Amino acid sequence: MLGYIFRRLLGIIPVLLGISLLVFTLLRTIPGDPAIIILGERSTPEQRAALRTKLKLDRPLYLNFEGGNVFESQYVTYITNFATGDFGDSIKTRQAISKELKERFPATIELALSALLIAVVVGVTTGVVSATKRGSLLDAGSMIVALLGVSIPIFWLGLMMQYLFSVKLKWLDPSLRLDTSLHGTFKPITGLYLLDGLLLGRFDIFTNAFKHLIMPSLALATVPLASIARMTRSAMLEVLYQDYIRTARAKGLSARITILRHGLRNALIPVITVIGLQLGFLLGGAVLTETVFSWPGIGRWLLDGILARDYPVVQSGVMFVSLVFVLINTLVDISYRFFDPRIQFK
Amino acid sequence: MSFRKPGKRSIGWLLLLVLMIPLIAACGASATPTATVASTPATGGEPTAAATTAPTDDTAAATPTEAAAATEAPTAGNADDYLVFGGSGEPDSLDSMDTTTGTALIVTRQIQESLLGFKPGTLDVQPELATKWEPNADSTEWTFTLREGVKFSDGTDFNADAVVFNFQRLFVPDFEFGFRAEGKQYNIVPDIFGGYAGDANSAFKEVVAVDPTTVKFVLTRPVPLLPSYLAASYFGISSPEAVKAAKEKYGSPEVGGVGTGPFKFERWDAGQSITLVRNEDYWGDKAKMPGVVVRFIAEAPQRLAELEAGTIDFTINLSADSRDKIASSAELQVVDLTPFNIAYLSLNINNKPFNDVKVRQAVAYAINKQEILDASYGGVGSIADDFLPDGLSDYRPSDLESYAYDPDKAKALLAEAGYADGFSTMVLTDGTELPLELWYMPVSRPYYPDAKSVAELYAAQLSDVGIKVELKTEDWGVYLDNWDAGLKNGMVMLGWTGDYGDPNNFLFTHFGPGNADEAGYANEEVWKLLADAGGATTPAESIKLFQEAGKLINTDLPRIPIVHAPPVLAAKKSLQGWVPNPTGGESFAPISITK
Repeated sequence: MLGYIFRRLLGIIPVLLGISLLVFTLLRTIPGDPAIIILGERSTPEQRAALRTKLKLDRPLYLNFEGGNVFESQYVTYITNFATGDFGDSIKTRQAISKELKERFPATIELALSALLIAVVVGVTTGVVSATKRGSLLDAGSMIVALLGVSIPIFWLGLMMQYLFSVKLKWLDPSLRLDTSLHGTFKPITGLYLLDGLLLGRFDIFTNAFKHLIMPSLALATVPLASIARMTRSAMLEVLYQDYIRTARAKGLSARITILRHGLRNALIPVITVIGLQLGFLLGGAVLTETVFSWPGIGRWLLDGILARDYPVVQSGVMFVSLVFVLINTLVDISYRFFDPRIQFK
Repeated sequence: MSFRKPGKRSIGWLLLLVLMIPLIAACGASATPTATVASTPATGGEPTAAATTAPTDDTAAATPTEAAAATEAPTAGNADDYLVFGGSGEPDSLDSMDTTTGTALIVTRQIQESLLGFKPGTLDVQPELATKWEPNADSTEWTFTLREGVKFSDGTDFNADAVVFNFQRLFVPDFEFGFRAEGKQYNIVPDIFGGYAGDANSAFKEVVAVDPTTVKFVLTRPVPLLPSYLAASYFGISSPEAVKAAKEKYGSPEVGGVGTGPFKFERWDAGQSITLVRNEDYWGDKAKMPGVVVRFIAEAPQRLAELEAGTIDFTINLSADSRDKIASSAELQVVDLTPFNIAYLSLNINNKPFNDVKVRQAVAYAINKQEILDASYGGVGSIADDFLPDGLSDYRPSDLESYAYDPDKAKALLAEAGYADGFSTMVLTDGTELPLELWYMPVSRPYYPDAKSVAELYAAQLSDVGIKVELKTEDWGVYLDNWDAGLKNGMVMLGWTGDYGDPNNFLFTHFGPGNADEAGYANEEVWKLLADAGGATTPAESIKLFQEAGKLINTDLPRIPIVHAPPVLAAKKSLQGWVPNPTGGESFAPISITK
């Protein structure tokens, strides 16, 4: 078991190396010299050269065959800096990327986890109910809703929710993580405002953050919810016709216990896979939701980094998101063992 | 059951995500924040004020968590009483001299004042940090008398040395505190002055402190409009001590900006908002409200929704179709602003038959501008006879041909040009014959809020005189790139919003030598007249030369002016004292609201 975990973690390294190579190469394939983008097209060649030296963009790309240390190249510098936790500075804002990540990522985590929570609770319940009542109106109805969840553009859904709950009913705030009047009134501990509100005993922050979180997490939940519901339904259908379910029922177990303990537990593996994948996606940032609700997460941050050719932001940001994604998938794989003891890791 | 499969699949997804990077980059190629320089002649139509769908600079920000969070409560007043402004995007910097984006300049205007300002709602220059200004006989030297007893909000003195420091930073390439090698750009200088100190075409020679309250600008050629330029928000004066202390990070989210203005920078929350508080030591009338929160809301529908929800108090750049909705609302008001823009239809002169001036004039007569104004702008705005908006009407020739809608005259001109039955193709310089194209913008701008519907009207009106067009559009970044490169044939819809009170901001930008490639119009007589007009020593002579150039352009007609469209600004009914400026450079100090 430990050996398996160790091997899986070791396996992350080549994946990340591959991604780093891809990101690095793609960024440099895109037209647009960062020195010109930063300094403007009217800058002098000397100014550009000086900036390239400062940003180490004058070094060879992958390996240095021009004499001197063979590893003195842009790519090797990028990889070694990342490995040592030095993410560099954003070209555009001239701030440490680690600082920006520290501010942006908690916003993404808070949104992703609450959206996933909604999606799992509602999705699994819907899936189980439709599977057990297969062919009923309830089944058809909930699957249509699931289909809608996948198909409705989040952008549109977000706007409609804002219109209904903020403009018409004035129940919820249309955007941001907190009212602007609360900005700067506390020092975040985790950056997850719900948690911070509790830890600091500031219930005004907790309730305010909660009100701000409802709409974006509901909107964002629609996508994973739909896949979780459909996956649960089909996995449950497969399991419910197995012999051991019939046996369980035959020995007198109630329908509820049979479905939940014998059915759902065995149907969970593919569902967990889907949940893990979805969490990975959500933690990569939800550009559309973040845009509609002015949510200061990592999705827009990366997108703007790409638009501004902010090499360090994109390189470190994508690596960071990939690392999170791969780690979560590894965790999901490892967790199979706990949901299904039949699985043995060798 | 295989437990490796999901892992492989997820890596596939990850690769797909990574592979999308160049796609995203390509889509936004010319929409990068640094490219939104309003007056760059080369980017024919990406004005500052038109930031409705302009890129938001989310990355520009990162909360100064440690520093600002320690400030337990705002310094003055209750944060609930702060004004909330719905800005159309996140600023890239709060260093007024180092940004050219409208989203940033509207904030810097509250913090860093310029030597001169604009009278509320107009382009007329009035005193700000300078109380008097005087040119020498030929406008090659300008002397400014500075306001006395003014302090920057960090407590240091505002004086002639501070002014010289700021303009050296801006103009002198090797100035010690310019931090150019670290990435400071000062992009606006070449656009307005032709180059930095020492450049061959630069109008700037030096700026000197004559005594503590007097500075003198020495120029290489007459610049009669210098006061108009210096009133623009680009020339906000920063505290030299603050610049020296923060170095290249001056203006960044963790530092902000320091000036003499009615508001002081308090905090910048990444991707969310900037908070300013009232400057209690302000030299002039103090701000009515204890603070302003500037929110970053990139999309116009979002800004409208927030305004309706009551979470913002006032906002800019809403879509034209929201005007009626706001006007009929019990809680909101439309705030009027004289249009300072132009929507136009460019004809590529390199193509046959647009190389024939008669055909160009025929197109102008075939277009019913009133119908377009009524259908797409709700009838609000004014029909454009030339490129200059009403704020600059002094420079307009008195005997302009307005090309009022006259389909018969259009047909007659077409017949004279040999196209009695109209035409439906265009011939490129290499002889290729293609269906006639009419390009409409894929984005909404104040001058063309709904470009497609206008394009359909053009097509219908042109078809009435026998000109058949094919409507085309493409990704906005590609649209602008191709336009700049002169690759757009046929008819092209574009527009412009001005950012300072200079006719050349409209005329040289569209008919100067920098624009000859876009659609083939190169009239050296016009170039010379415009350059001479900009350097004329007396206003009367300047007006005369601009009018002469305007007349030539009016006859050549390479681009057909359509309308000057008022941008839609709105506020809560309880908000008072907001007088927006056509350049987007108004102070928020007089604004008050009952909350």
